[in-house]
Amino acid sequence: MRSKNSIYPRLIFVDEASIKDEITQRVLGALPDAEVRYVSDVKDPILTYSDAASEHEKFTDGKRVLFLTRHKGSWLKSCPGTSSHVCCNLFIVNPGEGCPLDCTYCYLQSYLKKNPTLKLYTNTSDLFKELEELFIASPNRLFRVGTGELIDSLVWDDLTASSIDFISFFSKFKNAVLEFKTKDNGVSNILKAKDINAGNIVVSWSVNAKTVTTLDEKNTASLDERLEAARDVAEAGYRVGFHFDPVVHFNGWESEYTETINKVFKSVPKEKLAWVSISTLRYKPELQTMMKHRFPESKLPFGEQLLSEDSKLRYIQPIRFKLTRFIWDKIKEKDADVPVYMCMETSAAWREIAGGAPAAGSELREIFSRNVKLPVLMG
Amino acid sequence: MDLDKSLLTNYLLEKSASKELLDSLDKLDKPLIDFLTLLASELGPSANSINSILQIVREISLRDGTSSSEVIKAVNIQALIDTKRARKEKFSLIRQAFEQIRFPEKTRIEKEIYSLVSDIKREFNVKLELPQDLEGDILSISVNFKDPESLLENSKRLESLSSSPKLTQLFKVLKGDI
Repeated sequence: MRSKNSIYPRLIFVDEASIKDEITQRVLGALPDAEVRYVSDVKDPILTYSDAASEHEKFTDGKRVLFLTRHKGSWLKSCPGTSSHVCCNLFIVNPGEGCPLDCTYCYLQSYLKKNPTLKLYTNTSDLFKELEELFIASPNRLFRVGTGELIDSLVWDDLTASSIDFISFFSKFKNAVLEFKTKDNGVSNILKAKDINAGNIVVSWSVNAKTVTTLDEKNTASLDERLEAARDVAEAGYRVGFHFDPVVHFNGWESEYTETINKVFKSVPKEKLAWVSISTLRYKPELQTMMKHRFPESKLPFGEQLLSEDSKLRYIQPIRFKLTRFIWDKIKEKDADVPVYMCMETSAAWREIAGGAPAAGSELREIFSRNVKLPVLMG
Repeated sequence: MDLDKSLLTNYLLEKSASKELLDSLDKLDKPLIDFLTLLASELGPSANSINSILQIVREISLRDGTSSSEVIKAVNIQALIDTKRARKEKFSLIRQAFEQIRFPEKTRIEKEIYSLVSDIKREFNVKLELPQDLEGDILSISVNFKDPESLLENSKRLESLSSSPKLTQLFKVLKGDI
Protein backbone atom coordinates (compact mmCIF):
# COMPACT_ATOMS: atom_id res chain seq x y z
CA MET A 1 0.00 0.00 0.00
CA ARG A 2 1.38 3.42 -0.94
CA SER A 3 1.91 6.19 1.57
CA LYS A 4 0.32 9.47 0.58
CA ASN A 5 3.01 11.34 2.48
CA SER A 6 5.31 10.71 -0.46
CA ILE A 7 3.14 12.82 -2.75
CA TYR A 8 2.49 15.71 -0.39
CA PRO A 9 4.45 18.87 -1.17
CA ARG A 10 7.74 19.55 0.54
CA LEU A 11 7.53 23.23 -0.27
CA ILE A 12 4.45 25.44 -0.33
CA PHE A 13 4.35 28.88 -1.89
CA VAL A 14 1.51 31.06 -0.66
CA ASP A 15 0.36 34.03 -2.65
CA GLU A 16 -0.05 36.94 -0.24
CA ALA A 17 -3.56 37.49 -1.56
CA SER A 18 -4.46 33.96 -0.44
CA ILE A 19 -3.14 34.05 3.11
CA LYS A 20 -6.50 34.57 4.81
CA ASP A 21 -8.48 32.20 2.61
CA GLU A 22 -10.01 29.16 4.26
CA ILE A 23 -8.36 26.68 1.87
CA THR A 24 -4.94 28.13 2.68
CA GLN A 25 -5.53 27.73 6.38
CA ARG A 26 -6.71 24.14 5.95
CA VAL A 27 -3.72 23.12 3.83
CA LEU A 28 -1.12 24.77 6.04
CA GLY A 29 -2.81 23.27 9.09
CA ALA A 30 -2.67 19.81 7.55
CA LEU A 31 0.99 20.09 6.55
CA PRO A 32 2.73 21.68 9.54
CA ASP A 33 6.16 20.36 8.54
CA ALA A 34 6.23 21.71 4.99
CA GLU A 35 8.44 24.69 4.21
CA VAL A 36 6.27 27.73 3.46
CA ARG A 37 7.31 30.76 1.43
CA TYR A 38 5.10 33.80 0.91
CA VAL A 39 5.20 35.45 -2.49
CA SER A 40 3.38 38.11 -4.43
CA ASP A 41 2.99 38.72 -8.16
CA VAL A 42 4.42 35.32 -9.04
CA LYS A 43 2.72 33.35 -11.80
CA ASP A 44 4.46 30.03 -11.40
CA PRO A 45 7.05 29.76 -8.60
CA ILE A 46 8.89 26.68 -9.82
CA LEU A 47 9.92 28.50 -12.99
CA THR A 48 11.74 30.99 -10.77
CA TYR A 49 13.03 28.68 -8.07
CA SER A 50 13.97 25.50 -9.91
CA ASP A 51 17.44 25.41 -11.42
CA ALA A 52 16.50 22.49 -13.70
CA ALA A 53 17.61 23.07 -17.26
CA SER A 54 14.94 21.28 -19.24
CA GLU A 55 11.16 21.48 -19.36
CA HIS A 56 10.78 17.85 -18.33
CA GLU A 57 13.04 18.30 -15.29
CA LYS A 58 11.17 21.45 -14.29
CA PHE A 59 7.91 19.58 -14.64
CA THR A 60 9.22 16.84 -12.32
CA ASP A 61 10.40 19.46 -9.80
CA GLY A 62 6.95 21.05 -9.91
CA LYS A 63 5.36 17.80 -8.78
CA ARG A 64 6.46 18.35 -5.18
CA VAL A 65 5.77 22.06 -4.90
CA LEU A 66 2.34 23.47 -4.19
CA PHE A 67 1.27 27.02 -4.89
CA LEU A 68 -1.75 28.37 -3.01
CA THR A 69 -3.08 31.19 -5.09
CA ARG A 70 -6.27 32.83 -6.31
CA HIS A 71 -7.98 31.97 -9.56
CA LYS A 72 -8.61 34.88 -11.85
CA GLY A 73 -11.31 34.91 -14.51
CA SER A 74 -14.19 32.57 -15.21
CA TRP A 75 -14.25 29.18 -13.49
CA LEU A 76 -16.72 27.24 -15.61
CA LYS A 77 -15.56 25.99 -18.98
CA SER A 78 -16.79 23.51 -21.53
CA CYS A 79 -14.58 20.47 -21.88
CA PRO A 80 -12.57 21.18 -25.03
CA GLY A 81 -13.38 17.77 -26.52
CA THR A 82 -11.59 17.15 -29.81
CA SER A 83 -12.42 17.95 -33.41
CA SER A 84 -14.44 15.44 -35.52
CA HIS A 85 -15.35 13.43 -32.44
CA VAL A 86 -18.56 13.03 -30.44
CA CYS A 87 -18.46 15.08 -27.24
CA CYS A 88 -20.10 14.25 -23.91
CA ASN A 89 -20.90 17.87 -23.05
CA LEU A 90 -19.08 18.03 -19.77
CA PHE A 91 -18.55 21.35 -18.05
CA ILE A 92 -15.41 21.68 -16.03
CA VAL A 93 -14.28 23.75 -13.10
CA ASN A 94 -10.71 23.59 -11.97
CA PRO A 95 -10.16 24.01 -8.24
CA GLY A 96 -6.47 23.78 -9.02
CA GLU A 97 -3.99 22.76 -11.70
CA GLY A 98 -1.46 19.97 -11.92
CA CYS A 99 -1.37 16.65 -10.13
CA PRO A 100 1.08 15.03 -7.72
CA LEU A 101 0.19 11.65 -9.19
CA ASP A 102 2.45 10.84 -12.10
CA CYS A 103 0.83 8.90 -14.93
CA THR A 104 3.07 8.30 -17.93
CA TYR A 105 0.35 9.27 -20.41
CA CYS A 106 -0.95 12.34 -18.53
CA TYR A 107 -1.68 15.16 -20.95
CA LEU A 108 -0.90 17.75 -18.28
CA GLN A 109 2.78 17.10 -18.99
CA SER A 110 2.39 18.95 -22.25
CA TYR A 111 -0.57 21.13 -21.34
CA LEU A 112 1.08 22.55 -18.22
CA LYS A 113 4.73 22.34 -19.22
CA LYS A 114 5.05 26.13 -19.17
CA ASN A 115 3.58 26.41 -15.67
CA PRO A 116 4.37 23.16 -13.89
CA THR A 117 3.93 24.15 -10.23
CA LEU A 118 0.98 22.35 -8.65
CA LYS A 119 -1.70 24.87 -7.78
CA LEU A 120 -4.69 25.01 -5.53
CA TYR A 121 -7.03 27.95 -5.86
CA THR A 122 -8.01 29.36 -2.52
CA ASN A 123 -10.92 31.60 -3.56
CA THR A 124 -13.40 28.76 -4.06
CA SER A 125 -16.19 30.95 -2.68
CA ASP A 126 -15.93 32.84 -5.99
CA LEU A 127 -16.27 29.54 -7.84
CA PHE A 128 -19.48 28.67 -6.00
CA LYS A 129 -20.84 32.18 -6.57
CA GLU A 130 -20.28 31.89 -10.32
CA LEU A 131 -21.88 28.45 -10.51
CA GLU A 132 -24.85 29.56 -8.43
CA GLU A 133 -25.57 32.50 -10.75
CA LEU A 134 -25.37 30.23 -13.78
CA PHE A 135 -27.52 27.41 -12.37
CA ILE A 136 -30.19 29.91 -11.29
CA ALA A 137 -30.10 31.77 -14.61
CA SER A 138 -30.72 28.54 -16.62
CA PRO A 139 -33.06 26.45 -14.50
CA ASN A 140 -34.14 24.31 -17.46
CA ARG A 141 -30.65 23.39 -18.47
CA LEU A 142 -28.88 20.41 -17.01
CA PHE A 143 -25.27 21.01 -16.02
CA ARG A 144 -22.88 18.11 -15.61
CA VAL A 145 -19.84 19.57 -13.97
CA GLY A 146 -16.53 17.81 -13.43
CA THR A 147 -13.63 18.89 -11.25
CA GLY A 148 -11.10 16.36 -12.50
CA GLU A 149 -9.83 17.87 -15.73
CA LEU A 150 -6.66 19.75 -14.75
CA ILE A 151 -6.31 18.17 -11.35
CA ASP A 152 -7.30 14.91 -9.70
CA SER A 153 -10.58 15.73 -7.92
CA LEU A 154 -9.68 14.07 -4.64
CA VAL A 155 -5.91 13.90 -4.43
CA TRP A 156 -5.69 16.94 -2.12
CA ASP A 157 -8.98 16.35 -0.35
CA ASP A 158 -7.30 15.08 2.81
CA LEU A 159 -5.73 18.54 3.04
CA THR A 160 -8.56 20.78 1.83
CA ALA A 161 -11.78 18.89 2.66
CA SER A 162 -13.20 20.83 -0.28
CA SER A 163 -15.27 17.82 -1.38
CA ILE A 164 -17.57 18.61 1.54
CA ASP A 165 -17.95 22.20 0.28
CA PHE A 166 -18.77 20.94 -3.23
CA ILE A 167 -21.28 18.34 -2.06
CA SER A 168 -22.97 20.87 0.17
CA PHE A 169 -23.14 23.44 -2.63
CA PHE A 170 -24.49 21.04 -5.27
CA SER A 171 -27.15 19.74 -2.86
CA LYS A 172 -28.98 23.04 -3.44
CA PHE A 173 -29.43 22.55 -7.19
CA LYS A 174 -31.61 20.10 -9.03
CA ASN A 175 -30.31 21.08 -12.45
CA ALA A 176 -26.68 20.21 -11.79
CA VAL A 177 -24.68 17.03 -11.37
CA LEU A 178 -21.18 17.06 -9.97
CA GLU A 179 -18.60 14.46 -10.92
CA PHE A 180 -15.46 13.96 -8.89
CA LYS A 181 -12.91 12.07 -10.98
CA THR A 182 -9.91 10.47 -9.35
CA LYS A 183 -7.23 7.80 -9.18
CA ASP A 184 -6.94 8.27 -5.44
CA ASN A 185 -8.66 6.49 -2.60
CA GLY A 186 -8.95 9.34 -0.11
CA VAL A 187 -12.72 9.38 0.36
CA SER A 188 -13.02 10.04 4.10
CA ASN A 189 -14.52 13.51 3.59
CA ILE A 190 -16.93 12.23 0.99
CA LEU A 191 -18.08 9.59 3.44
CA LYS A 192 -18.47 12.26 6.12
CA ALA A 193 -20.70 14.27 3.79
CA LYS A 194 -23.02 11.39 2.91
CA ASP A 195 -26.00 12.91 4.70
CA ILE A 196 -25.89 16.11 2.66
CA ASN A 197 -25.63 14.25 -0.67
CA ALA A 198 -28.78 15.12 -2.59
CA GLY A 199 -28.25 12.38 -5.15
CA ASN A 200 -26.58 14.56 -7.75
CA ILE A 201 -23.01 13.64 -6.85
CA VAL A 202 -21.10 11.04 -8.83
CA VAL A 203 -17.71 9.88 -7.64
CA SER A 204 -15.76 8.42 -10.55
CA TRP A 205 -12.60 6.44 -10.78
CA SER A 206 -10.28 6.03 -13.73
CA VAL A 207 -9.59 2.34 -13.97
CA ASN A 208 -7.35 0.31 -16.16
CA ALA A 209 -5.71 -3.03 -16.79
CA LYS A 210 -3.36 -4.08 -14.02
CA THR A 211 -0.30 -3.75 -16.27
CA VAL A 212 -1.16 -0.10 -16.95
CA THR A 213 -1.98 0.83 -13.34
CA THR A 214 1.17 -0.87 -12.13
CA LEU A 215 3.65 0.39 -14.72
CA ASP A 216 2.25 3.68 -15.93
CA GLU A 217 0.26 5.23 -13.09
CA LYS A 218 2.96 6.15 -10.60
CA ASN A 219 1.86 7.34 -7.13
CA THR A 220 -1.79 6.49 -7.71
CA ALA A 221 -3.88 4.20 -5.53
CA SER A 222 -3.77 0.62 -6.78
CA LEU A 223 -6.76 -0.70 -8.69
CA ASP A 224 -7.89 -2.66 -5.64
CA GLU A 225 -7.56 0.41 -3.40
CA ARG A 226 -9.62 2.47 -5.85
CA LEU A 227 -12.31 -0.18 -6.04
CA GLU A 228 -12.40 -0.51 -2.27
CA ALA A 229 -12.96 3.25 -2.03
CA ALA A 230 -15.65 3.01 -4.73
CA ARG A 231 -17.42 0.30 -2.75
CA ASP A 232 -17.36 2.46 0.41
CA VAL A 233 -18.70 5.48 -1.45
CA ALA A 234 -21.48 3.44 -3.07
CA GLU A 235 -22.43 1.97 0.30
CA ALA A 236 -22.64 5.53 1.62
CA GLY A 237 -25.34 6.26 -0.97
CA TYR A 238 -23.41 7.97 -3.75
CA ARG A 239 -23.56 7.00 -7.38
CA VAL A 240 -20.26 5.87 -8.80
CA GLY A 241 -18.71 6.19 -12.27
CA PHE A 242 -15.81 4.44 -13.95
CA HIS A 243 -13.63 5.64 -16.77
CA PHE A 244 -11.64 3.10 -18.74
CA ASP A 245 -9.16 5.68 -19.84
CA PRO A 246 -6.76 5.31 -21.52
CA VAL A 247 -7.37 1.84 -22.87
CA VAL A 248 -4.01 0.50 -23.98
CA HIS A 249 -3.19 -2.19 -26.54
CA PHE A 250 -0.59 -4.64 -25.21
CA ASN A 251 -0.03 -8.39 -25.13
CA GLY A 252 -2.67 -9.86 -22.87
CA TRP A 253 -4.97 -6.82 -22.85
CA GLU A 254 -8.13 -8.91 -23.24
CA SER A 255 -7.68 -10.94 -20.07
CA GLU A 256 -6.47 -7.98 -18.01
CA TYR A 257 -9.35 -5.69 -18.99
CA THR A 258 -11.78 -8.56 -18.37
CA GLU A 259 -10.31 -8.93 -14.89
CA THR A 260 -10.74 -5.21 -14.21
CA ILE A 261 -14.35 -5.26 -15.43
CA ASN A 262 -15.08 -8.27 -13.22
CA LYS A 263 -13.58 -6.45 -10.24
CA VAL A 264 -15.57 -3.29 -10.94
CA PHE A 265 -18.87 -5.17 -11.01
CA LYS A 266 -17.92 -7.11 -7.90
CA SER A 267 -17.15 -3.90 -6.02
CA VAL A 268 -20.12 -1.74 -6.84
CA PRO A 269 -23.80 -2.76 -7.13
CA LYS A 270 -25.17 -2.18 -10.64
CA GLU A 271 -27.84 0.20 -9.40
CA LYS A 272 -25.16 2.51 -8.06
CA LEU A 273 -23.35 2.81 -11.39
CA ALA A 274 -23.99 6.25 -12.87
CA TRP A 275 -21.97 5.69 -16.02
CA VAL A 276 -18.91 4.05 -17.50
CA SER A 277 -16.79 5.62 -20.21
CA ILE A 278 -14.28 4.06 -22.57
CA SER A 279 -11.49 5.87 -24.33
CA THR A 280 -8.40 4.54 -26.00
CA LEU A 281 -4.92 6.00 -25.60
CA ARG A 282 -4.39 9.27 -27.45
CA TYR A 283 -2.00 12.17 -26.97
CA LYS A 284 -0.36 15.05 -28.72
CA PRO A 285 3.00 14.31 -30.38
CA GLU A 286 4.82 16.66 -28.00
CA LEU A 287 3.70 14.47 -25.09
CA GLN A 288 5.56 11.54 -26.64
CA THR A 289 8.83 13.43 -26.22
CA MET A 290 7.97 14.27 -22.61
CA MET A 291 7.10 10.63 -21.89
CA LYS A 292 10.38 9.40 -23.34
CA HIS A 293 12.31 11.80 -21.11
CA ARG A 294 10.32 11.38 -17.91
CA PHE A 295 9.49 7.67 -18.17
CA PRO A 296 12.34 6.07 -20.12
CA GLU A 297 11.32 2.60 -18.96
CA SER A 298 7.74 2.90 -20.22
CA LYS A 299 6.62 1.15 -23.40
CA LEU A 300 3.64 3.47 -23.91
CA PRO A 301 5.40 5.87 -26.32
CA PHE A 302 6.24 2.88 -28.51
CA GLY A 303 2.72 1.62 -29.04
CA GLU A 304 1.04 1.67 -32.45
CA GLN A 305 -0.25 5.23 -32.31
CA LEU A 306 -0.31 7.31 -35.47
CA LEU A 307 -1.12 10.92 -36.13
CA SER A 308 -4.85 11.35 -36.69
CA GLU A 309 -7.07 14.10 -38.06
CA ASP A 310 -7.25 15.97 -34.74
CA SER A 311 -3.42 16.08 -34.54
CA LYS A 312 -3.26 13.50 -31.79
CA LEU A 313 -1.52 10.17 -31.90
CA ARG A 314 -4.07 7.35 -31.75
CA TYR A 315 -4.37 3.71 -32.65
CA ILE A 316 -5.74 3.15 -36.15
CA GLN A 317 -9.49 2.61 -36.29
CA PRO A 318 -9.53 -1.22 -36.44
CA ILE A 319 -7.39 -1.46 -33.30
CA ARG A 320 -9.35 1.30 -31.52
CA PHE A 321 -12.69 -0.23 -32.33
CA LYS A 322 -11.51 -3.68 -31.32
CA LEU A 323 -10.35 -2.44 -27.91
CA THR A 324 -13.46 -0.34 -27.32
CA ARG A 325 -15.94 -2.95 -28.54
CA PHE A 326 -14.36 -5.60 -26.36
CA ILE A 327 -14.75 -3.51 -23.19
CA TRP A 328 -18.18 -2.21 -24.23
CA ASP A 329 -19.51 -5.74 -24.79
CA LYS A 330 -18.00 -7.09 -21.58
CA ILE A 331 -19.67 -4.32 -19.58
CA LYS A 332 -22.99 -4.84 -21.32
CA GLU A 333 -22.72 -8.60 -20.63
CA LYS A 334 -22.52 -7.73 -16.96
CA ASP A 335 -25.43 -5.32 -17.13
CA ALA A 336 -27.17 -4.34 -20.32
CA ASP A 337 -28.66 -1.24 -18.69
CA VAL A 338 -25.51 0.38 -17.40
CA PRO A 339 -24.94 3.69 -19.22
CA VAL A 340 -21.75 3.38 -21.25
CA TYR A 341 -20.28 6.06 -23.46
CA MET A 342 -17.17 6.63 -25.51
CA CYS A 343 -15.05 9.67 -24.83
CA MET A 344 -13.60 11.46 -27.86
CA GLU A 345 -14.61 8.88 -30.42
CA THR A 346 -15.95 9.30 -33.94
CA SER A 347 -19.57 9.01 -34.97
CA ALA A 348 -18.53 5.86 -36.89
CA ALA A 349 -17.45 4.33 -33.59
CA TRP A 350 -20.85 5.08 -32.08
CA ARG A 351 -22.60 3.50 -35.07
CA GLU A 352 -20.44 0.40 -35.09
CA ILE A 353 -19.97 -0.26 -31.40
CA ALA A 354 -23.02 1.24 -29.72
CA GLY A 355 -25.44 0.75 -32.61
CA GLY A 356 -26.09 4.45 -33.04
CA ALA A 357 -25.32 7.94 -31.87
CA PRO A 358 -26.17 8.80 -28.28
CA ALA A 359 -29.64 10.31 -28.04
CA ALA A 360 -31.05 12.79 -25.59
CA GLY A 361 -33.65 11.00 -23.51
CA SER A 362 -31.62 7.79 -23.39
CA GLU A 363 -30.06 6.42 -20.24
CA LEU A 364 -27.20 8.79 -20.98
CA ARG A 365 -29.35 11.91 -20.81
CA GLU A 366 -27.25 13.38 -18.03
CA ILE A 367 -24.26 13.17 -20.29
CA PHE A 368 -25.58 14.03 -23.73
CA SER A 369 -28.15 16.51 -22.59
CA ARG A 370 -27.39 20.07 -23.57
CA ASN A 371 -30.80 20.45 -25.15
CA VAL A 372 -32.84 18.67 -22.52
CA LYS A 373 -35.70 20.94 -21.48
CA LEU A 374 -36.69 19.67 -18.05
CA PRO A 375 -34.09 17.75 -16.15
CA VAL A 376 -35.19 14.89 -13.96
CA LEU A 377 -32.34 13.74 -11.85
CA MET A 378 -31.55 11.38 -9.11
CA GLY A 379 -32.77 7.98 -10.13
CA MET B 1 36.06 10.99 -34.51
CA ASP B 2 36.04 7.91 -36.73
CA LEU B 3 35.84 8.23 -40.48
CA ASP B 4 32.21 7.14 -40.88
CA LYS B 5 30.97 9.54 -38.24
CA SER B 6 32.98 12.32 -39.79
CA LEU B 7 31.55 11.53 -43.25
CA LEU B 8 28.03 11.39 -41.88
CA THR B 9 28.46 14.65 -39.98
CA ASN B 10 29.73 16.42 -43.09
CA TYR B 11 26.90 14.97 -45.14
CA LEU B 12 24.30 16.16 -42.63
CA LEU B 13 25.92 19.59 -42.40
CA GLU B 14 25.63 19.87 -46.17
CA LYS B 15 21.97 18.91 -45.88
CA SER B 16 21.39 21.61 -43.23
CA ALA B 17 20.53 19.13 -40.50
CA SER B 18 19.21 20.44 -37.20
CA LYS B 19 21.60 20.91 -34.30
CA GLU B 20 19.60 18.32 -32.38
CA LEU B 21 20.26 15.67 -35.05
CA LEU B 22 23.93 16.56 -35.28
CA ASP B 23 24.31 16.42 -31.49
CA SER B 24 22.57 13.07 -31.38
CA LEU B 25 25.27 11.48 -33.55
CA ASP B 26 27.60 11.38 -30.54
CA LYS B 27 25.20 9.04 -28.76
CA LEU B 28 24.86 6.57 -31.64
CA ASP B 29 26.68 3.25 -31.67
CA LYS B 30 28.87 2.19 -34.59
CA PRO B 31 26.36 -0.08 -36.37
CA LEU B 32 23.86 2.76 -36.43
CA ILE B 33 26.47 5.21 -37.74
CA ASP B 34 27.49 2.69 -40.40
CA PHE B 35 23.85 2.17 -41.38
CA LEU B 36 23.13 5.90 -41.73
CA THR B 37 26.38 6.45 -43.60
CA LEU B 38 25.44 3.70 -46.04
CA LEU B 39 22.05 5.33 -46.63
CA ALA B 40 23.69 8.73 -47.10
CA SER B 41 26.31 7.52 -49.55
CA GLU B 42 24.06 5.23 -51.58
CA LEU B 43 20.72 7.01 -51.56
CA GLY B 44 21.40 10.68 -50.74
CA PRO B 45 18.37 11.27 -48.52
CA SER B 46 17.50 14.58 -46.85
CA ALA B 47 18.46 15.23 -43.24
CA ASN B 48 14.80 14.91 -42.26
CA SER B 49 14.58 11.50 -43.92
CA ILE B 50 17.72 10.33 -42.09
CA ASN B 51 16.22 11.61 -38.84
CA SER B 52 12.91 9.85 -39.41
CA ILE B 53 14.49 6.46 -40.05
CA LEU B 54 16.81 6.95 -37.09
CA GLN B 55 13.80 7.60 -34.83
CA ILE B 56 12.04 4.46 -36.04
CA VAL B 57 15.11 2.28 -35.44
CA ARG B 58 15.62 3.76 -31.98
CA GLU B 59 11.97 3.28 -31.04
CA ILE B 60 12.05 -0.37 -32.05
CA SER B 61 15.26 -0.84 -30.11
CA LEU B 62 13.80 0.80 -26.97
CA ARG B 63 10.49 -1.03 -27.26
CA ASP B 64 12.06 -4.45 -27.71
CA GLY B 65 15.05 -3.90 -25.44
CA THR B 66 17.42 -4.89 -28.25
CA SER B 67 20.47 -3.18 -29.67
CA SER B 68 20.11 -0.99 -32.74
CA SER B 69 22.39 -3.36 -34.64
CA GLU B 70 19.88 -6.18 -33.99
CA VAL B 71 17.11 -3.96 -35.34
CA ILE B 72 19.10 -3.06 -38.45
CA LYS B 73 19.93 -6.71 -39.11
CA ALA B 74 16.21 -7.50 -39.34
CA VAL B 75 16.05 -5.73 -42.71
CA ASN B 76 18.12 -6.77 -45.72
CA ILE B 77 19.20 -3.25 -46.52
CA GLN B 78 21.81 -4.12 -49.11
CA ALA B 79 19.27 -6.16 -51.10
CA LEU B 80 16.91 -3.18 -51.18
CA ILE B 81 19.74 -0.86 -52.22
CA ASP B 82 20.68 -3.28 -55.02
CA THR B 83 17.18 -3.30 -56.55
CA LYS B 84 16.74 -1.48 -59.83
CA ARG B 85 14.73 1.44 -58.54
CA ALA B 86 15.15 5.17 -58.10
CA ARG B 87 17.16 6.16 -55.02
CA LYS B 88 14.17 7.86 -53.42
CA GLU B 89 12.05 4.76 -53.91
CA LYS B 90 14.75 2.54 -52.42
CA PHE B 91 14.92 4.77 -49.36
CA SER B 92 11.17 4.66 -49.06
CA LEU B 93 11.21 0.83 -49.18
CA ILE B 94 13.84 0.68 -46.47
CA ARG B 95 11.86 3.03 -44.25
CA GLN B 96 8.72 1.02 -44.95
CA ALA B 97 10.49 -2.18 -43.88
CA PHE B 98 11.37 -0.63 -40.52
CA GLU B 99 7.90 0.86 -40.15
CA GLN B 100 6.47 -2.63 -40.53
CA ILE B 101 8.57 -3.75 -37.58
CA ARG B 102 7.64 -0.63 -35.61
CA PHE B 103 3.89 -1.08 -36.27
CA PRO B 104 3.32 -4.84 -36.61
CA GLU B 105 -0.41 -4.87 -35.81
CA LYS B 106 -1.13 -1.98 -38.15
CA THR B 107 0.93 -3.69 -40.84
CA ARG B 108 -0.95 -6.95 -40.41
CA ILE B 109 -4.34 -5.21 -40.58
CA GLU B 110 -3.42 -3.08 -43.59
CA LYS B 111 -2.03 -6.10 -45.39
CA GLU B 112 -5.30 -7.95 -44.90
CA ILE B 113 -7.38 -4.93 -45.99
CA TYR B 114 -5.33 -4.27 -49.13
CA SER B 115 -5.32 -7.94 -50.03
CA LEU B 116 -9.14 -8.04 -49.75
CA VAL B 117 -9.47 -4.87 -51.85
CA SER B 118 -7.16 -6.37 -54.45
CA ASP B 119 -9.09 -9.69 -54.51
CA ILE B 120 -12.36 -7.82 -54.91
CA LYS B 121 -10.95 -5.79 -57.77
CA ARG B 122 -9.78 -8.93 -59.51
CA GLU B 123 -12.99 -10.84 -58.94
CA PHE B 124 -15.56 -8.13 -59.58
CA ASN B 125 -13.60 -5.66 -61.63
CA VAL B 126 -14.47 -2.75 -59.34
CA LYS B 127 -12.15 -0.44 -57.53
CA LEU B 128 -13.08 0.12 -53.90
CA GLU B 129 -12.01 3.31 -52.21
CA LEU B 130 -11.25 2.97 -48.54
CA PRO B 131 -11.97 5.75 -46.06
CA GLN B 132 -8.99 8.06 -45.64
CA ASP B 133 -6.46 6.67 -43.13
CA LEU B 134 -8.91 3.79 -42.61
CA GLU B 135 -11.02 6.14 -40.46
CA GLY B 136 -14.75 5.70 -40.95
CA ASP B 137 -17.21 3.08 -42.06
CA ILE B 138 -18.07 4.21 -45.57
CA LEU B 139 -16.49 2.73 -48.69
CA SER B 140 -16.96 4.12 -52.16
CA ILE B 141 -16.92 2.75 -55.66
CA SER B 142 -16.80 4.76 -58.84
CA VAL B 143 -18.52 3.24 -61.84
CA ASN B 144 -17.77 4.11 -65.42
CA PHE B 145 -20.07 3.02 -68.21
CA LYS B 146 -20.36 3.85 -71.87
CA ASP B 147 -23.94 2.78 -72.59
CA PRO B 148 -27.05 1.47 -70.80
CA GLU B 149 -25.93 -2.12 -71.37
CA SER B 150 -22.61 -1.63 -69.63
CA LEU B 151 -24.39 0.06 -66.73
CA LEU B 152 -26.61 -2.99 -66.38
CA GLU B 153 -23.55 -5.20 -66.44
CA ASN B 154 -21.97 -3.07 -63.71
CA SER B 155 -25.08 -3.25 -61.59
CA LYS B 156 -25.04 -7.05 -61.80
CA ARG B 157 -21.41 -7.09 -60.73
CA LEU B 158 -22.18 -4.80 -57.81
CA GLU B 159 -25.10 -6.94 -56.80
CA SER B 160 -22.93 -10.03 -56.64
CA LEU B 161 -20.24 -8.05 -54.78
CA SER B 162 -22.80 -7.10 -52.12
CA SER B 163 -23.06 -10.74 -51.07
CA SER B 164 -19.34 -11.46 -51.33
CA PRO B 165 -17.80 -12.90 -48.13
CA LYS B 166 -14.69 -10.87 -48.98
CA LEU B 167 -16.63 -7.63 -48.74
CA THR B 168 -18.12 -8.76 -45.43
CA GLN B 169 -14.64 -9.58 -44.19
CA LEU B 170 -13.34 -6.21 -45.37
CA PHE B 171 -15.95 -4.37 -43.30
CA LYS B 172 -15.18 -6.60 -40.34
CA VAL B 173 -11.48 -5.80 -40.42
CA LEU B 174 -12.09 -2.09 -40.97
CA LYS B 175 -14.41 -1.97 -37.98
CA GLY B 176 -12.07 -3.90 -35.74
CA ASP B 177 -14.33 -6.94 -35.62
CA ILE B 178 -11.34 -9.26 -35.92
